[in-house]
Amino acid sequence: MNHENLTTWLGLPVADYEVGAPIEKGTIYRFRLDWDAETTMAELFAAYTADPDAVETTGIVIGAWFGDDSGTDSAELVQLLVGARHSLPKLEAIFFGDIISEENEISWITQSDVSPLFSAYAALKHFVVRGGIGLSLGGKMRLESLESLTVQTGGLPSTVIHEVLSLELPNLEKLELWLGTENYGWDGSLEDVQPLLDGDLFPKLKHLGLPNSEIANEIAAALVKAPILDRLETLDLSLGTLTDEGAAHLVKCTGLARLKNLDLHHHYCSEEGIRSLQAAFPGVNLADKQDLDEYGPYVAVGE
Amino acid sequence: MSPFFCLWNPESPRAAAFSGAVREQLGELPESLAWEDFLQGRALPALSPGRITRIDSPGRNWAVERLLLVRGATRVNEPGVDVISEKACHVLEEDRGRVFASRQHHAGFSDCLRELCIHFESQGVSWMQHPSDIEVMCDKAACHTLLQSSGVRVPQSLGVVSCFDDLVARMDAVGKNRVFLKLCHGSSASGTVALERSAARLQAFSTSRMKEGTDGVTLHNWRTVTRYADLREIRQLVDAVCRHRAHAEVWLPKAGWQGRRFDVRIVVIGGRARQAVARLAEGPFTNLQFGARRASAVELREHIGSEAFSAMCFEAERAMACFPHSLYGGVDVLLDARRHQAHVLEVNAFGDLLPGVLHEGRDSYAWEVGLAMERLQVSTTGT
Repeated sequence: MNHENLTTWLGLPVADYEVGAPIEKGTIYRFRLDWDAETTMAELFAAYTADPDAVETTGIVIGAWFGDDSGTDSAELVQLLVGARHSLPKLEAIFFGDIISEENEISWITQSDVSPLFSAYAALKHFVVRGGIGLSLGGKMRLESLESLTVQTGGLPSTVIHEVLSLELPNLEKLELWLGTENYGWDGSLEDVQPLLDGDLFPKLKHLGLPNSEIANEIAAALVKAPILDRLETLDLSLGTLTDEGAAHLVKCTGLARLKNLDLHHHYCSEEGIRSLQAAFPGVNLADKQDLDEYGPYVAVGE
Repeated sequence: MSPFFCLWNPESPRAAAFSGAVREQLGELPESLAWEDFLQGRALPALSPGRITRIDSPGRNWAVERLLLVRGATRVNEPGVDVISEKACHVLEEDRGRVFASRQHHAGFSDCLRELCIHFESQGVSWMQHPSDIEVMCDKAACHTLLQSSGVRVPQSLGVVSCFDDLVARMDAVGKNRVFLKLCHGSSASGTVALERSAARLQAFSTSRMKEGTDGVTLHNWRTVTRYADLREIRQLVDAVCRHRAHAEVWLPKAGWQGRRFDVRIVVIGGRARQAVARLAEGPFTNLQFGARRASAVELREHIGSEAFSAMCFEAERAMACFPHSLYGGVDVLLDARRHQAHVLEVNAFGDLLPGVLHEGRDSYAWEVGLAMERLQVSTTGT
């Protein structure tokens, strides 16, 4: 898990930006520092935005911004991106934190308040952020254009969930919140995510993911009567600690048959649980079956 | 008579595989002597000029390990390094997994290598691996220095570290926050620590666990990787590793593949990269005993592209070129996650056995025997 940098995103190739190299149209560039980089993110950005072709940029990937000092937070990066907004008039996709475990553990990535990005880039359609420490999405804003929002963490603070719930997202089709584990910052409960299941928020939501969660079974139970299932095409409870208990709830969900995709990979179900899920939803993704050990079930991405 | 003479642990899979390769090509078994017999005083044979000597690993044999510790007992004089007295060695009992005074073990082994060198060199034998090369390959600090000074791309070294405080000071001095600490004389990731820190946190992963006994904290290789997050424990662990003599280097971000991180063992024989196996791990250690998955050279080349694959092979060959008197070695190479450049992590004198992994239809031992025979013929027709 979390060991490979993006090579494509949103159907476009992703490449590291190198100062002095020409900008290829149709490529999304990643900005990051080496473990022994002699440049800074500010210099990288300045070089990029000085290129006349930068105005065509539709997507940007922010990689490891801290060189070898993983404690540095992302606030300066947010400011750099905000400052570059006039040079990037067509930007509609930001992946903020394409950082692999070998660069920095997901639960060590120090984020910051990224909401200034939403104000600066009103046309933003896709936003992914990795790392939950220090993260804030601001909240209480209307983001007209946002179609997909993904927050990947080893442990999501419930404050961030409430910020997401308070956003007005009339065009949001895809929402993915990696809830994670108590060991690495998850401090919420089913109650915190319940509003997502009630179906009153985000009128266009079609793809809901609550992966990497240690309350996967509870979520499964709450889904049995959840109104949101009436309009979902994709449900993603992968990477978590789903066991036969959760599977027994899921097979009872009346809305299950309406889904197009059900992703439960990395799970702790028995062969029997697997068979019942496959009967209820042919095509369910049950790859990466985990075996229980002395430490009990755990989420795929914690550390 | 077979041209080959081997010093080895006869019960080891390495001995069986090498015997098999020699028999396959020459129809007879190599002449051999067991490490245990040699260490107990059995005389080395007189070999005629041109005979080929293979010194194999003395590892995984308790009797041999103890005898090497005995031989090294008076040969370690660095302060702060664990030594077991000769007397204590004689009554030492096997404790599987425990790392026993590895510096002392190496000192005993090196002394043997020198004796072998003096004995056989005067008889004009040729070596599959020269004893002085083996000695350097089995010393990670010396090996790193040699590779670096020869221009091979290696992770930055922080040198030989004396204790936890020394390690932290060295990390501060070079401004690095992720390091690998390795026993200078360890094999199979024995006693290895992967340490990372930020302003707020510190944690370490290790292949070893500690036990506290009457003789202080001892290191034990474990079947799973242990994570340490407690400062006191990490200090204790690093101190214990350093008492074996340990070398630290920057932990470079390994490239990922199949949802894991990977490096590659490349066996270089006769100057060319031959067999290769990628090792894909969930944790920081890619050794197969910790559940790493293998992938073939063909799959690897397909995944990383022929340019990066060639770069890895090239770097492995450059590393082995530092040992011109050795026919082969197992080189561990990583591809970094940022620039996809190849970096050499280690050269393993005894890392040449990859059963069932073929290069142009032959496994590593078949290649070794074949090339050693070719060289022999060249040198005899030349005289």
